[in-house]
Amino acid sequence: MSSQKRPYRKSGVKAVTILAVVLLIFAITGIRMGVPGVISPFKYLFMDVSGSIQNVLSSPVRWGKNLWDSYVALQDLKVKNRALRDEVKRLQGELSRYREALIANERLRKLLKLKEHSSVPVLAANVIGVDLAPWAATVTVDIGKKDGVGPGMVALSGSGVVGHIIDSSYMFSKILLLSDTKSAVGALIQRNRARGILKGAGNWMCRMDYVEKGVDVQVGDAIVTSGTDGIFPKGLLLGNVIRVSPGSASDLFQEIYVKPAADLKRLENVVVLMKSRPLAGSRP
Amino acid sequence: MKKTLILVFWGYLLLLFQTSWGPVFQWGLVRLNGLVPLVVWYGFGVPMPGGLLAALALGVLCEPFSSIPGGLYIVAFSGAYLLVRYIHDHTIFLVLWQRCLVAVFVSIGVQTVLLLGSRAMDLLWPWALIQAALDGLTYPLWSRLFDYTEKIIAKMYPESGSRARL
Repeated sequence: MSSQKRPYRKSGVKAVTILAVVLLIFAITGIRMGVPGVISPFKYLFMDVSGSIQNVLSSPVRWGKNLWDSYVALQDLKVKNRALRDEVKRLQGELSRYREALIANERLRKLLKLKEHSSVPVLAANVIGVDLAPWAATVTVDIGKKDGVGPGMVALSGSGVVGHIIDSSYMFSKILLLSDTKSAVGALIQRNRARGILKGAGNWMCRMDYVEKGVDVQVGDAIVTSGTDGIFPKGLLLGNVIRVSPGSASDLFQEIYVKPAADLKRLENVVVLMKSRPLAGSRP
Repeated sequence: MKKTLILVFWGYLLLLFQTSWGPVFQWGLVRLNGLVPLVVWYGFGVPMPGGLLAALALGVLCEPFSSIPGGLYIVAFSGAYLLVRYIHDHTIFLVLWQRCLVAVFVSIGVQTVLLLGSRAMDLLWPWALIQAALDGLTYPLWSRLFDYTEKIIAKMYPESGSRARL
């Protein structure tokens, strides 16, 4: 029986081999011809199936690779970003320094001009501190008795009068600013020479008192020192009128608000007139 | 003694800081102020008469840093200390928010004395009251800072504590 089955097995294997070879021939022929031809449906089927398997198999690898690539790229970007940020920071710092130098230059140029035009000797000083009470307008400067500075001397900035020295130690002095409520300066309106007293109103503003109602005062009028208070020399710019009000009917005087010419809130440098001291102290 | 050391150390440091960096932390006429919280913190921790003497010393320390008429800071801080001691002696325990309220109240007192003395009472509303509110709000931070400093000093000089207990 076994000898009878063997020829069937042999013929079956032969038929499959033949079919395979035929298919192979068709396939090779089709590929070599470069046209879809007969094998195209198989090829696409093969490609689709294989591709699907490949896709499934390769997906974790791709995911890992993407992750790695992203990580590497991110690291690279991070490094670049950090470098650029550092560069921007450096340039910003540089720009800020240049700007600061420009502003300081402008400020010092004004002070120098003031020094050149002043007939009395002046001494420049840096503002190093403000008053402990926020409403008290005094500043501390880095010149004192050792520099020949003392109470009663007038302090100016490039824009106008700042105030006068009220106290001095060996190395430092305290300047009472125009806007302090204790400050009072003899003043006149430059345009019509009307006299009054410029008092500090707090909050970096001043008020000009004792100007009669009939006097023509306009917003923008320049207010200068009158020289009558014994401290401030005549003709120094104090500020400009920003608001005028006639007040109530019973008031004898106008309400005049003045913005100091010097930016008292942001003072950095001042010059002190060295000659004005004796006036205040020597009066009988 | 440790607390007095902190009062003088932080008092001086705050004076320097507030007069040189003050405008940076200033909005209108309100400024970040650690002195009133310092006095309140000190008042809760140190009894009289030594405490009053230290509060007085802090007032004296303030004088060169301000153009406000002489003696006002001494009166203001001594008064603030006495007020805190009075409240302390008449209460069993104050939780933090209640201490903040005390700081607000004490700050109003201090501002009133200083403004009256410098003839600027019209600034009481709104500036002094906003300042008082700020002092009260920042009291927990300041108080933590002072407590922390006290801990550091206690670590540095542990024997001073044991002597005190003895």
